[in-house]
Amino acid sequence: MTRTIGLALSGGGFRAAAFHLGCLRALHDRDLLDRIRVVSGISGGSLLAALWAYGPPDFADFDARATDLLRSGLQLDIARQAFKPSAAVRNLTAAARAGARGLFSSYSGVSVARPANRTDALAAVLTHKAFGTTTMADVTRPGLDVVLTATDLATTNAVRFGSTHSGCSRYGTITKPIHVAVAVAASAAYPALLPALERTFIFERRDGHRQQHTVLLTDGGVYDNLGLSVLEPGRSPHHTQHVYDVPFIISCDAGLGELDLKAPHFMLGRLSRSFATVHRKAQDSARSRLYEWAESGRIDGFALAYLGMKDDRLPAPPADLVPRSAVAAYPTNFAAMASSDFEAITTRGEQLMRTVLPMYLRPAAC
Amino acid sequence: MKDSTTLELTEGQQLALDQLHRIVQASRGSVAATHVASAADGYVEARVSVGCANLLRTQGGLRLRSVEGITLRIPPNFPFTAPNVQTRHTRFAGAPHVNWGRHLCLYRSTATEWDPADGMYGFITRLLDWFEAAAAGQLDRPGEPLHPPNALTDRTAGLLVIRRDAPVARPDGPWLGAVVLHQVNDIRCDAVGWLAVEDSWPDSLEQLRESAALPSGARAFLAPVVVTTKHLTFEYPLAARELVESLTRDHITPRLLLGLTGCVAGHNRTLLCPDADASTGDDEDTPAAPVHLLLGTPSRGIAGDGPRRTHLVAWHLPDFADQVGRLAVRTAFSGRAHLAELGDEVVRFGTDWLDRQSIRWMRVYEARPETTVRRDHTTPAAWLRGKRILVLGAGALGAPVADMCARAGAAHLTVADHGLVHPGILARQPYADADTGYSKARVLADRLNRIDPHATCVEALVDNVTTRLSALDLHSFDLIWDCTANRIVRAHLERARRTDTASWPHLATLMIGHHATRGIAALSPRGATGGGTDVLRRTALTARADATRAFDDLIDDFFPTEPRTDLFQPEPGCSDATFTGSAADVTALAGQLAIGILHALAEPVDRHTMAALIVRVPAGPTSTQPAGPRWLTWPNDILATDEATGYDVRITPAALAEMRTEARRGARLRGPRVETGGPLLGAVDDATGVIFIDEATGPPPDSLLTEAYFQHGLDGVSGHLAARRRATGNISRFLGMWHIHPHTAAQPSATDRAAMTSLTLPLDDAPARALVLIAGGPAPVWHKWLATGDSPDLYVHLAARTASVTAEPPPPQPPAHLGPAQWWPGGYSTRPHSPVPVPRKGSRS
Repeated sequence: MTRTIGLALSGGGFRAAAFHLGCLRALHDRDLLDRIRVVSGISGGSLLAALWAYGPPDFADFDARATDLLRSGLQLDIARQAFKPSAAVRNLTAAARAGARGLFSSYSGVSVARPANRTDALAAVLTHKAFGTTTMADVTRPGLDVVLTATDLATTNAVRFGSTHSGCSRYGTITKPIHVAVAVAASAAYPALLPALERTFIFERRDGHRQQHTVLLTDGGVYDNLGLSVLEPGRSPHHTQHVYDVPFIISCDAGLGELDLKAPHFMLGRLSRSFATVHRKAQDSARSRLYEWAESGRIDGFALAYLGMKDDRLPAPPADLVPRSAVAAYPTNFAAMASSDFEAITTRGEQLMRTVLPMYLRPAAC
Repeated sequence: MKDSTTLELTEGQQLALDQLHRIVQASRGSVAATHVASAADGYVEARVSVGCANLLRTQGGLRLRSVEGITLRIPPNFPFTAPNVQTRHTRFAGAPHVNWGRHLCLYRSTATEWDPADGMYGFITRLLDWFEAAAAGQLDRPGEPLHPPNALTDRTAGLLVIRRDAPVARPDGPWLGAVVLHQVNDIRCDAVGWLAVEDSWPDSLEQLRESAALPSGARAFLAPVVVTTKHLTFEYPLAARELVESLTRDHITPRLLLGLTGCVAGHNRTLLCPDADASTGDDEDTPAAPVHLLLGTPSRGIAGDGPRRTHLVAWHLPDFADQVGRLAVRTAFSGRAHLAELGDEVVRFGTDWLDRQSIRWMRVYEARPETTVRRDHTTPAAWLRGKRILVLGAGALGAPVADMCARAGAAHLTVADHGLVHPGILARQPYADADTGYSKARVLADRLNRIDPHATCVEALVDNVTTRLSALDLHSFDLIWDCTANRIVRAHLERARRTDTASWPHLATLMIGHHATRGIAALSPRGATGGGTDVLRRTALTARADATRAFDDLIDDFFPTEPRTDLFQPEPGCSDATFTGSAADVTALAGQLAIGILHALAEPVDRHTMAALIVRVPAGPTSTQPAGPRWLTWPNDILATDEATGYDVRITPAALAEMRTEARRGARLRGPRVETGGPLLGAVDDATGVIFIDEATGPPPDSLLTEAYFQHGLDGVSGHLAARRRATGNISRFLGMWHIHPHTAAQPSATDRAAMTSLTLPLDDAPARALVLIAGGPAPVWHKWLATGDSPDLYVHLAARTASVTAEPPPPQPPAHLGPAQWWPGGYSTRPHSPVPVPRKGSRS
C-alpha cells in the first residue's frame, strides 16, 4: 500500500480531539488510514494523533481508548497533580516512577531551575493515562511518521517533535529521545489554559556542533493551528528535517471561525508575544494555502473537514447532519466531555469528512 | 590595407572593410589585410594573412605555414550575405571542409550560424577557429557527422533520391551490381533496391516491381553501381579522365566499368523491351533506359561511432555508353576467343571515349534510413509510424489530423466522410476551389497519398460512418480518431465498443468549442471501460465538481445545461449549424489535441486510464490569458451486466468505494451481518446500452437496518437528489438503490423480488425504472472486499416500476423465527434502536 496522504490534525483541546476522532472514523471506513504517510498534530490534534499513532493497531481498540480518555477528561487530573501533591502521590505512582527515569527533562549534568507547573502536570497525567514511557520513535504503524508541533516562546520558532527527528530549525536536532507524553503536553500547552513548559535540551546542528538550549514550549497552534506547514509541498531539506512531499493532504480543522476571535482577548495580558504570532500565521490563510497548493498543482488534491463550516455551504449535507450550532459553544479545554457533546462533535467530524472526501480527493487516492 | 577609398564600394562592403581594418589594428600583427580590389562579380576581394605559427599542431592536422594567406571575398550585400574565403593554392585540397580545393567551408548553415550583427568580427573569429581546428586535425571531430564529399551537380543531369540503404564493399574488392530505379518523372528517379552481380536478377518488369514493392505500372529500370573499398576524394572531378584514373587505382578499370554498364543496359532491354530481338539490331542506337552510373565510396560518417556508410554520387552518362557497353559485353565479355581481339579494341575505344567525357553529376537526395534521421523522431508523433489509423470525419479537425498521421509515416490511413467540398469550408479546411463538389474523403485521400507513397497508403471511405461501421474491420486499426463532433457517431462507437473493449483500438474523440477557442480530446485507450460518450460525460461531471471553478468556460462552451441559442449558420437556411473559427484556430486546436493524445499513447502510464485533454487558444497580448492545457484522468469503472437488458453497468470506483465505506462502517458499529444500503445516482443510456453509476450514498436516517433486511428511508433524499442534479447540470440523477448482503450471495431475496415492482422511491419525480444493485458474496469474498477493496459479487437489475408511486412500499417483514430483532436507524447513528416490536411474517430481503 503506498502511503501518499499527509494528515493534519488542528489544535483546539478536547473539542479538536473529539472532532478528529470522528474524522478518523470516516477515514477508517473509507479505508484511507493505511495510506497516511505522515500525521501532523497541534495541541488537541497532537493528543489524538499520538493516541492513534502510538496506540493499539486495531481501530476499534484505539477508538475505545480515545473515547475513554475524552469522556473522562484530563483537567481534573491536572488540577490534582498541580495543586494537591498528596493526592498526586497517591494517584500517580506510575508517573512518578517515569519521572525518576528522567522523563520530564534532560539535565545532562546541567541543572536548570524548572518549577513544576500545570503543564508538567499534564505531561505526568498523559504518561499515566495514555502513553507511559513510549518515545517518539515507537510508532505502532509501520511506514507512518508523526510530527507534533509546539512553539518556543523564547524564539517564536516551531519546535517539532517527530518520529524520525525532533528539534527546531534554529538550534538543530535534539539528541535524546523524546517521550510522547512530553511532546503532546508541550504541543497542547494552550496559552489561555496552561503555562508554557520549560525544557532544556542538547541540540545538534547540521555541522555536528552541539549546544544546550532552554526552550519555553507552548501550544503549537500559536505558530500554525492547522498543522499544515510541515506538509507544505517542496520544503527544502536544507531548512527542515521534516520533508514528506505528500501529494494528498487531509486537513481536519476543529476551529470555529469567528468564535475564535474571543481567544486573543483571553491571552492578551499574559502572552502578547504569542498574540503577535497568531496574527502572523492566521488560520484562514493556512486554509487558503491548501487551495493555492491544489490550484498551482503543487499537490494533487486535498480534503478539508472544518468544524466551523457553515452548514448551508456543504454541497450535499447528510440529512442528519449535526449542526454547527450544536458544537459551537463547546470550549477549548481538556475537561471530561459529556456524552451528548462527545457524540455531537465526533459525529459532525465523521459527517464532514465523509462529505468532503469524495469532493476533493481524486479517485486515484481513494 | 589600402585603396579602399578609390573603389566602388557598396555600403555593406564599406562596413566590412571598416570592421576588417579595426580587426587588423587590434590583432597586433596576427591578421593582416592587403590588395583590396573589386572582383568581376561585384565582390570585393582582399588578401588576408593569418599567423598560424602559434597554433597547436598534431599528427593528423593540416600542415600549415607560419603565415597562411587567403582571399577574403566580400559580397555586395554584406552583411546580409556572408563573405567567403578561398586559398590561392590547392595545398588544402582533400581536407574535410575544403571544397573544390580552394574554398574553406566555415559554416554548415549560414541561415543559423551567420549572424549579420556580428559582421566581419564573427567571420574572422570563425576563420581563426577553422585554422585552429585544421592545425589540430579536428575539422571533423569524432562522433560528429563527417562532411561528405562534394560533387558539382548539374541540374539538367537529373535527380536521384536514395530510399534504400546502400551496399558496402567488402575489404577484398568493390561491390558491383545494379540499383533498381523507379522513374518518378522526367528528371527524378528513386533508388529503391540493390542487386549484386552475383544475385539472380528479375527476369521481367513485373518481377522487378515486385522485388522493390513498386505499384504496377510504375516505370522502373536498372542502373550500374560500383562501390569502392576506399575513400576516393572529398571532391569529384568534372573530367572523366581524373575519375577513371582514381578508380583504376582501386582496381576498377574502364573495362570493368564498360562491362558493367553494358551488362545492365542489356538487362534493361530484356526487362523493358521483351519483344525486341536483340540480334536484329532494331533500335540498336536507342537505349532502353538512361545510363546513370552510381559510384559509392565509404565516405559517409554518421553521428556517433560505427563504420562509415556508403556515400553515393551519380554520373549521368550519354546514351552512347549504352551502346559501347553492350558492345563490350558481346565481345570482350562473350567468353569466345575469336571475339577477344575485337573486344579489346572495343574496350580501348570505349576507354578513349570515356576519357574525353566531362562528367554530368546528378543531384542526389538522401532518403535512406542509414544516413537520415526523421525530423519528428523524438516527438510523440513517432508513435504513428507504421500504424493503421482510422480518421472519422475529414473536416476542420479530421483533415489536419489525417495530414499529421500521413506525415508521421502511418502505414495505413482510412479517412471516412460522406460530405462534399463546399465553397464555405475553404476558409478553414485544407481543400481547394477545384475540389468543390467532390467528396472530401476522396480529395483528402488523394492529397495525402502524395505525401509519402512509399510509406503510407491512404484510403477514402465515402459513406455514412454509422452505417458503414459494421463493415469495417475495426480491430485491424491501432487508433481511431473520431473527429466528426457528431453525437450519433459517438453513440454508435460507444455501443459497438462496449461488448469488446479489450480488443478495440485506442479511440480518441476530438471536439472544438463554438468559437474554436477551446478543444477537448477524450481518450479511451484499448481496454478502457468507457468510449467517447462516456469520457466526455465524466469530463462534464468532473468539470462541474471542480471547486476551483477552473472549468466554467468549458462547461459553458461544451456542456451547457440549456441548449445554446446562438447557433451559427454560415449559409442560412441550407447549412447545418457549425462553429465560427479560422484555419489558424482549428489547425492549432487539432495540433494541440493530437500532440496530447499521442503523448498519452507513446508513454502510457496506465493502459486502462480514460483521459481528457482540454486546450485553449491564446488571446491577445493585453487580454486575460486562458488557462493552459489540462488533463483529467479516470481509472476504469467496475463493470457488471444487467442480465435482463444486457446493458453494461459501469460503476465508478468512487461509488463502489462509498458502498464499501458504508459496509465497513456497518461492520464497525453494527456487527458483521447487518445490511445497509442507499440511493444510487447516475443515468441510463438506452441508445448505447449503458447504465452509469456515478455516486452512491449511505442510508437515509429513517432507514431500517437489520440482519434480515434493509428498508430504504426517505429523509433528505429529495433534497439530496435535487442538489446533485443541480450540481451536475442534470447529468447525474436518481438511478436506483443499492444494498448489501453480507456473507451471502449477491442475489435478490424473495422480498427483494417482490419489492422490485414498487422499487422506485415514492418521490415526486421518481422515474419509471430503477436499478437494483446488491453487493454480497460468500464470507471469503465479502471479507476480502471489506479488507482490501477487491470487488464483491454484484447483482444488478434494471427494474421497471409497475406499482403506482403513491402506493406505500410493503412494510418490512422480518422472519418471525428470528425472534426479537435488533434494528438500527440509518444516517450516522452510532446506536441501535432498542428492541422493536417483532414483525410477524415476511421473508428475508
